[in-house]
Amino acid sequence: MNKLFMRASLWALFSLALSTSGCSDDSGFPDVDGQNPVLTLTSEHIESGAGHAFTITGELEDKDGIASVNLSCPDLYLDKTIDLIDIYGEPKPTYQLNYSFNLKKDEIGERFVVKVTVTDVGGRSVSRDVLVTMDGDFSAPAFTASPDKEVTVLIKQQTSFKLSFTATDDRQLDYVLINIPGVEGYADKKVDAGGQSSLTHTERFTLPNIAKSYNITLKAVDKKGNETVATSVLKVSEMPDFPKMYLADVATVEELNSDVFGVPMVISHTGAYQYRARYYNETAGTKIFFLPQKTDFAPICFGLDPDNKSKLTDDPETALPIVLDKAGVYYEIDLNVKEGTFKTRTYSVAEATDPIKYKKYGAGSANFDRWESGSEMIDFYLGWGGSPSDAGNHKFVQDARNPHLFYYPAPGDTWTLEAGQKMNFIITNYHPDGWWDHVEWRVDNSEDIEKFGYFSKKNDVNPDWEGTNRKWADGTAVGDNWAKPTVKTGGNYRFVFDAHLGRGKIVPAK
Amino acid sequence: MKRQLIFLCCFLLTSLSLLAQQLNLSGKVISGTDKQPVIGVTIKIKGTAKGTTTDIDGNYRLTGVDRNATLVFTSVGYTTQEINVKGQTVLNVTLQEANELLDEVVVIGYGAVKKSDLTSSISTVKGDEIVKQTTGNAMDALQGKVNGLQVASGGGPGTTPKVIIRGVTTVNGSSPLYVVDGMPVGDNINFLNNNDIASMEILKDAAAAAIYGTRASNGVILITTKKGVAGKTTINFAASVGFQTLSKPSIASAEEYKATFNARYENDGKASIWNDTGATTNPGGTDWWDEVVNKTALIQNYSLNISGGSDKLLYNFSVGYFRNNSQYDVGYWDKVNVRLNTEYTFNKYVKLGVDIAPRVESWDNTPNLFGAAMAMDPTTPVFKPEDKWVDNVYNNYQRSYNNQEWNPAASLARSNGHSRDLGAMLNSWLQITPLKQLNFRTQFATNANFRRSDGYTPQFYIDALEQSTLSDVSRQSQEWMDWNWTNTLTYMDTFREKHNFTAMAGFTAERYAWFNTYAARAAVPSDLEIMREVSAGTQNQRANGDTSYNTLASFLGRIMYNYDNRYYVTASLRADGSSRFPEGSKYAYFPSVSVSWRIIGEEFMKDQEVFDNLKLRAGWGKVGNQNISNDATLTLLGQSDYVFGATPQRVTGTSVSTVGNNQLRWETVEDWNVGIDMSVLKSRLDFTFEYFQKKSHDMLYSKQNVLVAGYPNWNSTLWMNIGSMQATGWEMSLNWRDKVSDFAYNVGLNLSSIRNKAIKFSGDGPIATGGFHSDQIIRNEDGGLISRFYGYVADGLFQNQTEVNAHTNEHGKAIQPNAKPGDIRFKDLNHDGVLDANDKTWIGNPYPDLMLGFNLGLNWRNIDFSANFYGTFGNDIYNKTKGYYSGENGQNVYKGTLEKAWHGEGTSYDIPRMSYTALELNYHRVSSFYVEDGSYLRCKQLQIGYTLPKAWVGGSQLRLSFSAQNPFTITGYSGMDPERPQLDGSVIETGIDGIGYPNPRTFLFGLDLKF
Repeated sequence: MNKLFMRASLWALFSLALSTSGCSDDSGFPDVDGQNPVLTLTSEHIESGAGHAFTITGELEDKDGIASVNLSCPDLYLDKTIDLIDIYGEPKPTYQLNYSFNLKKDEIGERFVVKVTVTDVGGRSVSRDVLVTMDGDFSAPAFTASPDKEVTVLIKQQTSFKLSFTATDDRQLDYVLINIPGVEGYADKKVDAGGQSSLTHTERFTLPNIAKSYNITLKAVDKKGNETVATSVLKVSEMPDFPKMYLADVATVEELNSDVFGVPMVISHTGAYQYRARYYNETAGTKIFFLPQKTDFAPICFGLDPDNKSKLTDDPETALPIVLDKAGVYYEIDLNVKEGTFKTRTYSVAEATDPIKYKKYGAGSANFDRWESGSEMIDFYLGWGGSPSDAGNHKFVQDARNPHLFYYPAPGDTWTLEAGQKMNFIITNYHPDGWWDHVEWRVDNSEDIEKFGYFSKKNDVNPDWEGTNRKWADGTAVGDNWAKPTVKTGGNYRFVFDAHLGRGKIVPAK
Repeated sequence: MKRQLIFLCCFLLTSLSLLAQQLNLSGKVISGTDKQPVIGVTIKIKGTAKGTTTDIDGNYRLTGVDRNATLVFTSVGYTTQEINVKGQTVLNVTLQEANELLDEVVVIGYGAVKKSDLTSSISTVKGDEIVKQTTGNAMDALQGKVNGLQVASGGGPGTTPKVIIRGVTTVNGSSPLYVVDGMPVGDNINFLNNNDIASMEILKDAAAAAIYGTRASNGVILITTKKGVAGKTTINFAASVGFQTLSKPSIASAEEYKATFNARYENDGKASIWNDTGATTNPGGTDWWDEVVNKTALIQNYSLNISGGSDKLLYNFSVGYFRNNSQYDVGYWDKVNVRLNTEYTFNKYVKLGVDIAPRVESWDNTPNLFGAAMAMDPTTPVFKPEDKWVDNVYNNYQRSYNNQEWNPAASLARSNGHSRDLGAMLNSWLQITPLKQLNFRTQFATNANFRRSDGYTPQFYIDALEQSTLSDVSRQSQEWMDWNWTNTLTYMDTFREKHNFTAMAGFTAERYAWFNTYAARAAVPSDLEIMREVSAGTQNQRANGDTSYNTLASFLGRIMYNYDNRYYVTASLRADGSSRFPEGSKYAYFPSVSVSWRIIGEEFMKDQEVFDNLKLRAGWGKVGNQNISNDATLTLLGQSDYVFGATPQRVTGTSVSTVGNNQLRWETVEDWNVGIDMSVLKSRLDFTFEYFQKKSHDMLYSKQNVLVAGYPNWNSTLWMNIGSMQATGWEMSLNWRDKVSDFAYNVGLNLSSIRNKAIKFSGDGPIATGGFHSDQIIRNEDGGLISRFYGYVADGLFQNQTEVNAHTNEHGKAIQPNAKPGDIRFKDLNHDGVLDANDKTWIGNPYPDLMLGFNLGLNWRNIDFSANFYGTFGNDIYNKTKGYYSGENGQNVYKGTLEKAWHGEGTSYDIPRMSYTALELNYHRVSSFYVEDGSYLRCKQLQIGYTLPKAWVGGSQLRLSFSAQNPFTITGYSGMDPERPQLDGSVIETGIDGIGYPNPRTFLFGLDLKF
């Protein structure tokens, strides 16, 4: 009897425990209202694009507590579960969903559906679909041509400035605002792009014949409201002693601005108003000008005076190019911009020197000492990259006629750079283990590269070279800077490097 | 007259009857354990000087024994028996081995007590147990046999095991103090002949060890060497000879190596830099392990012991030889030990003892080339082509074709390092007993050692990155001269039958000195053996020499009292003065007190039959630690360079190199212990359980100086009393013994568990140690367990791009932006979307949760069998050898790596993809990828012995045995040896597997002859 009573009591207690504990999920969080979660998305359609991110945002609510959120899209290889209990240690009654996903640069799909599923602690879930299309506009417009940061206009009888710029957008450009305060009679201007992706604008306006500086501000705005601003200081003055002078071997403004760096090419400032340019003339008939600004032939362009071709003029409207008619040689041109004089001479490739110890290493031949012990010889060649071993991935091709001249990529190969891409490299000898910086060039300015300086950590320098390690013959030197240029326009490019001149350029491949 | 006649008759009858009571008695004495005759048993007629000893067959004969006389049978190792003759003429006696009994005498510091009278925690291991295993160091044989004793062994000749008693309470050394016959000998007993050891007592708690005060914080191990026994001379020759062998790791062949080498580049879309020279010069490939590691190594041990004596003189002479070769062609360790222990009794008042124990130890350094043999390029031949050989044979080895590993065969050939120790322990003592209750003993002991170490590195050129431009020769001479003078006065008496009282007071003085000279030169003109002298060097002369010593002066005392063998109390106090501490802090006091209640002695236990022994114990004490440098209190100047001048030039000068602290105090460890001892089932089952806690105070720690102090040496450190550590644990033992007919057996199980915690180190933040790819594996943190691994949590491998994409924080920020399928997924513990130091956590603990010893002994007639097991459980190992799956720097890989490494979804969940560029992602991060469960259960020994019938060997006792040491190990650990990582590193940097010399398997044949 007693045993029976005990068993009955235990069953009663067990039943009571079950009836009072209520329903609950396995995680041990009791229900509050047992309702489904509420999912409110900010948008159910997101415009994005390859190489860009999209962000799904929304408000989530559940009185029982949200346990997790899942975002799923098999086509995008997306299956992410945000476990809120794991992150916060407890379920959340409300949650601000804000999840970004990066689309691959080579994504080719046009539209994707991301399923967002919210699950509460009771296992109840609600799903919504978000449509992601690849038609988003993420890029701000860009000025592919615009006045330099500082532009000098020489005082003439009638001083004027020819403003010229080109703005582009990857989708649709809206307008460009021009603002030049202080110029009498010149009001702010809004130039409409007419629904096009590119806008080129040129106008000339008159300036007072007094030395003065003006600020030019250009703002390009696309249809999505993305904007880009370019500024320039316009200096009106008598002929100044320009600290820098550039050699332009191209004919158009577009060509002047289509490079990653290196065009126009900076030349040496040898004295007051005096400059010396050295240039390797690959083909006969190369036409060159000298410019104190980099992005335009205006307002100053030194070329042959049509009235006296032994003299130079600074007027871009009338200047004629200096024609280099001897191919396969180096030209040396000395000019005095104050007096408008110049003289040229040539010297052979053999006379030209560079820092590389060809006698020791050879070029392209297997006589580079891998262990510096004579135990193993490997090919010596130059390349560019993040280290000597990486240089093997960007191996330069040496010019057949000029051993100082190197190219990348090899003829027939394509080298593609993307807009906005930031490069990071040095030029060095290749070494499979990434050791020993025997031969190395670094740059004067990481972002705005004009000169390459020889920088051998092993102090391996051709004794016949004009310069010394880290210092050129003219006494100038470059710092220990890596090249980190940013690509403005995507496309196929070519790297040209002249070890004799210490000049390089990355220009669109033809 | 009639009455006179009657008286005369009575007198004659009485006289006749008295004459008739004189007996001629004979008999045989055998051992209760193995039923074998016991030789040399002393048999005395109680109350007289008359007696005899048993012969080689255990037989004895006595004439003229009173028929009511009592005979006293005494023999070392057996309990003394008193038997009344009761008119018998044949009296056969079975002696019980003393270690089975509670009346066994246990050596304690500066004295001895019956085991039943112990109030503290002391374990005893007899010499017979130790010599069952053939080991270079006796401590190796104690694995699993003593509770609370952690012994981590390693292979390699002369390797000293790491011994930790009841956990760790200091960073200043973990080894216990070894005391041999009353002489402290430091923290290594490699020099001892195991066959000379009669017993080892492990003093585990402070109540037992406090009498050794200053050096007892890690426990004390008392070693008693064998003494002579009165009676017939016995000669014992023991020999064991065998070989050791190592398991060969499974390493890729030349063909597989090439495939994995290239796969690393191909998987990354890069051109491989494989050098295929080996295809023509060495088409069969090279098995580097077989080239440098021998399959077997010889181990041998011989010992001759002659023992005997009379009432006046006791002697024990032994000579032993032990040699252990390494698994390489070079490297060995051997020792020759001679010992003569004598004891002369002048009269009942005065006794004198002299022990002389000279020794010679020799060894050639054993190189560590296991890692190199595993990593070396197997396509590379051992030697260059013969046509390129030159006179310098060291130049003729081939440089690795595809990695930077030095040729291990060449390294082995160049290995030259030899040392020889000449040493002696001399121990003399005088004991005066003016009263039965009073004993004065003075002992002077010296332990001297002289070591000559020669080194030679030949000049060689294999390659620019594998060369030594100059040969170099060196010689170092070191001398240790230690002495110890101990004086004790002991009074022991019993009052009113039930008050048992012992008091001891003593004074000791000790001095430990070291003398060192070193000389070296470079550019020896020739590699000839006879030219390897310092004087033959022609360049770069170096020499230095120094002397170091420290002294101790101590006063000590102990009182032991028990009432009616039921209630016990023991108290001791030691005052130590050390030269290592400054004025005002030189002396420290180390008290202890312990009590026990022998419940079995109570009246109410008399009639019960459950318990044969029941005792409760509790103890408390303080012990000290002075393991700091001798000059810790001194500020010292050292050589330093300065740069002067417009054209900077280095000028040699001096600067402060060591900053002394004249405020140093003693480091003390406070310890308490409670325990219960129990015997049941007619003493067949013994049970002991103890719980303890040890905590250090004022722990000495070498703390970095603050820069603002202005000392030029940025890392100059200062000893300070700033730390505290704590060890807490329990230990339990169960021992069962029984005998069924001819079959006797015993089974023992020891379990112990200890948690080692750092309460405080320097206060400067965590101590990171155990370097690994610009990071540290181990982090010791105030308040946490010591030596734990601290790193990232590896959460399997990314199996596909979806898993890579999903590894973000809640906002989609990629946690491992450069990861690809096949890489390790690491947990972002703080969910911030960045994998950085904030995501590190505790990923392993090298100290075990549980240590286990299991011992089995079987005896059937003449056959005996024993098995010993030792294991640790719950400990982790940081297995750096998993890096051999990476192929990093072109090193060789484990066999099967191509298949084991991830190469597609579902192909692997542990070993990441082969990659040239992803090392930083997968292999260079301190992570749980490397952490494995290091639990293991190792069979330490299996031994089977057969004792030949005496008739076969002319009445002698001859036992033959075969034993296997470390024959098998049960473990899930993938490295070579789960035990070795516990040996390597200090107590706060242990558990890292860097391919140390693993414990070898050893197979031995043994012979033991007594006559």
